[in-house]
Amino acid sequence: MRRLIETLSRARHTLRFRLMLLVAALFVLAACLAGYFVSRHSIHELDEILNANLAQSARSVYAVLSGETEKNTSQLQDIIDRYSNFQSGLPAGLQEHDDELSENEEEALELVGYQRQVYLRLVDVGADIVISSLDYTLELPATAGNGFFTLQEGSHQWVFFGIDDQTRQLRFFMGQRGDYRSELIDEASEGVIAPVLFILPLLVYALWWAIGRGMRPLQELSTEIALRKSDNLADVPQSLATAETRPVVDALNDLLHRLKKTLQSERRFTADASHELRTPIAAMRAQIGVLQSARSESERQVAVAQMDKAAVQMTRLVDDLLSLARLDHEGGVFEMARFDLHQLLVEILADTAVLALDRDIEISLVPDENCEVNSVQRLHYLIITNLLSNAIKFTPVGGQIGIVINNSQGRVSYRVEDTGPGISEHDLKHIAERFYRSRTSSSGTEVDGVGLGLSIALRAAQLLNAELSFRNRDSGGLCAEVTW
Amino acid sequence: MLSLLLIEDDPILGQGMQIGLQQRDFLVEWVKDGLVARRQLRHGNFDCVLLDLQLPGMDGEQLLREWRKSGNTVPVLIITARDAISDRVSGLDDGADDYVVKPVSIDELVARVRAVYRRKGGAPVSELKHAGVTLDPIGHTVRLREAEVALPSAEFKILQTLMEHGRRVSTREYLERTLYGYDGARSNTIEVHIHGLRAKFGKSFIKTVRGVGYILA
Repeated sequence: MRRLIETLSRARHTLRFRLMLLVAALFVLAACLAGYFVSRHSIHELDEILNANLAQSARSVYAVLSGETEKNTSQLQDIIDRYSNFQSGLPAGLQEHDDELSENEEEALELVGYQRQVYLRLVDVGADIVISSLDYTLELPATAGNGFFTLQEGSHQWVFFGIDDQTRQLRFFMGQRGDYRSELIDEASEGVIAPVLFILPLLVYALWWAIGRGMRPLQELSTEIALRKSDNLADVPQSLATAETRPVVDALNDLLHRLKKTLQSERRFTADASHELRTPIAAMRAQIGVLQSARSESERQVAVAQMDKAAVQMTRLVDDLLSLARLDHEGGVFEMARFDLHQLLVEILADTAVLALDRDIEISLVPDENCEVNSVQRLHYLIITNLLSNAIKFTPVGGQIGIVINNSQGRVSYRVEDTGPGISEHDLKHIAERFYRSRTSSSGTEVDGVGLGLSIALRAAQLLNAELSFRNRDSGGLCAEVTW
Repeated sequence: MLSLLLIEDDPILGQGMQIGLQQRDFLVEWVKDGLVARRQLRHGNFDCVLLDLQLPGMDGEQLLREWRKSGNTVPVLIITARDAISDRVSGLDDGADDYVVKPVSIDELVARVRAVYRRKGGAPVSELKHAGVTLDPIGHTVRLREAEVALPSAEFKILQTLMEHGRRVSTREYLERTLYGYDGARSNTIEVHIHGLRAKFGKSFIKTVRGVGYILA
């Protein structure tokens, strides 16, 4: 018993159990409704039959009695008694309340159980004589006349049929006690309900089995997934999907695909990052070695300058990696606020313009007017600084970099244009991949720093739901534009 | 000579900063622990404090708050390795005058210390020099090589700001504010003054970053 309860309480949360419960409940409800309507209909039919029967009996008894009105009261009484006993099927003189009944008599009583409760009354209006059957004493309403009426006596209800014979100045009433009817009706209803109650446990068991069988594909699917090893990112076979579970299986496979891609790029990233992080440290240690055994002041100065360069590179890389990690982890929880985009650009340019000026690059911001936006300043800061440092890196000495804010019809965008070499169509596709470095600087030599800046900018744009696009300018050079 | 209190727990970094600052004519007292720093702050007399936020003994921010509460107004420059933006906000709220993010070069650090000290109303430390131009903030004189150049006061102010800013562009808004305060009307008077300065020191002495501001070449 305890095990059964435990099994049930475990099963409570299963689809199978819920389905079974629902179907069983619906079945019981349907059976009850059907039973209700069937018995209502039977009651109605039964009533009609019994009423017709009562009317017919009343008419025939009255026919006998009305032919005997010449006889005296005691004779009439005798007829009535005999009829009512006849109706009851009891031998004359035998009463239901008798204590000492023979077995046969009891059987007789049971056999006719339904039919006993009959009441007759004959009223001679002219002679003011009332003759009633003796078993009951009932008060009939004075207004009672032709047709059916009902009468409440204690807890019993009687149905009467009355005959009002004006020509003979006689009234005759014949009544039947309600128990008789309700017993019949109860029997009829039981006939409907009993099978339902009997079938229910069988039905529950059958449902349990059938639902379990119907749900086997789900079971198989969950087993397939549950038994997977954590590194198994292969597709869930389509053969395990039914029409209902196909969307789930498809979504799962899609997720697995993306996970696989992410894992691959993470692995590549780690490999690249370890290389890029180790290189400047190695460079620094090498220069320290040079410094330790430097033979001249000029050797010493070169070593120090190289160390400084490695440190700067390292700083940039760490900054970039931290920015990326932060963007990746925060995943879109940024507060929007109003700020002046123009002011932000002015401040960023004030900080970084010197890097361009050192290489004689002319740098400008247009137009010179405030531009209020509702966005995330921090993310724009990351986008702008990275686009800008990318532009400075690739623009040749004496070139130009222009930053243009476009604020028209409620849409704000900005772009960074340079006069560098631009990008080939092939590289446009890879431009934002982490550590991807393709553009060579104007001088053709390798450019310091690694390709993290643009992936930071793209990631930030992604978090802003902004679009960051790159295209080659007609006049040469690259244009990076941010729209949202 | 400015005296500095350097609060930094990393031995290599702290030693490097101490020597680097001493080489650049600062008196540097270096402590590695928050509690020691608190004692030093109570008794010593410093022109500027360099404060690392992550300290053993006592947290840098806590130290700063406590110190400001007691009414001490000596300039504090935070040196942090944490997230630049969030520390900026909380650090400046706690009463810091500026912040720099590690790693930072000694020269950058020196420039920031001088700027903070000046902003706090300390006496101008020294003459400013750039490309043969020497500006004496105290004597209010400017020399091009050895020859003295007479400057109208607006041009002097602008030149001083540009020289103080060094390798950062002075935005036009900032220059306007320096000259006229916060309610200065926007006009092209800055351009007029820049034009005047260029006439005296050469066309390429000041570079324009269009839409942003000016910087000494």
